[in-house]
Amino acid sequence: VNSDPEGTLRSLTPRGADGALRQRVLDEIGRELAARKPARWQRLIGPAVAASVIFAFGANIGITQWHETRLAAIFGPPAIPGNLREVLAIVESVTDRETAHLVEQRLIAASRSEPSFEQNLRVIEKYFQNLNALGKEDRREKTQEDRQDRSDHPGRAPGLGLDRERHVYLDYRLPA
Amino acid sequence: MDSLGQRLARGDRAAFAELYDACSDRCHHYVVTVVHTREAADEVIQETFLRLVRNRQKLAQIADLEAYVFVIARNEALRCLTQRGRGKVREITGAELFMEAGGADGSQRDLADLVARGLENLNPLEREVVELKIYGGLTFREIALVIEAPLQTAASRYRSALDRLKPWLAGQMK
Repeated sequence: VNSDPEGTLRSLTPRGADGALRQRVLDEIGRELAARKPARWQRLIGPAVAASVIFAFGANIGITQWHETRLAAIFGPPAIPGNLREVLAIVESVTDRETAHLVEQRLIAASRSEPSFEQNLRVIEKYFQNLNALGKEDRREKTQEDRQDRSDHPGRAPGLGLDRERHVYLDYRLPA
Repeated sequence: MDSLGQRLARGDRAAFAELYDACSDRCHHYVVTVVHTREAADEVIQETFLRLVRNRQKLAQIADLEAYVFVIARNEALRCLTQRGRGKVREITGAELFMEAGGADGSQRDLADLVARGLENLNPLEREVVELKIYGGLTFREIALVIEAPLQTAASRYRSALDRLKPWLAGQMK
């Protein structure tokens, strides 16, 4: 041992890693190198799906806009009922053009709204009333014609000449 | 003839074995002084080489591969310390660090234990530079790269550590 600390330190040899570690590390390296890398097309699947979804979304918006523009060009703007036009004229005279336009959009949207549950019930109720009335009328006509038929052709089976059909439809016209 | 870096980048297993043989002992010694157990150092060395394999494409551009291995090993060792959390750090014995500690020569065994204790007394930053310089075989430029500090800082830490060790060793030898 001398007075030079650097020399003292250098006189010792580091123990280093054990031999077993070398084999373990090299085995792990071999496994890592042998691990199959995903093919190029497999790595591209994810981005391709994402791009397709974005493209489809964009195309849907684009096509819808194009279709609406085309329909507007063919059919013109939606017709405004006369009573609405009068209300809008009043609104515009009181406020301004932008407010009137806003009210116009709201009123048109409201006028196109789906029938409510109560309205549907009233329509169905009216349908059954009509059906009942027509049934009664039918039976009355049938009785009269059958009576006439039997007096014209004695011995003929009753109701044989009646093959007329009547149809009843649901009337969805909403009250004004 | 391809350089070692190019062979590594190609995934040549023999090239990795060559790199391991060239620096694993020195690097392992350094890592033991950071993580304080040989078992943890084994894990760190294994993880270091696996990281090299996974990022092998970069290795063709690395000019100083041995210093680069030390950089990766240091990062892995610090990660290992972070995962382990702050606990009481055990003292590393001469037997864990030096070949001489297991030899037949009694004076060499004593010297190994003495140096191990002397290094334990150093500031960890100073000790790191001493380990990298003397047992890691790195230049000050490489050490500065590994510890992410200026070259002058690395050199001054080394000188300061030796200045501390000199009287301590002299006092123990009496």
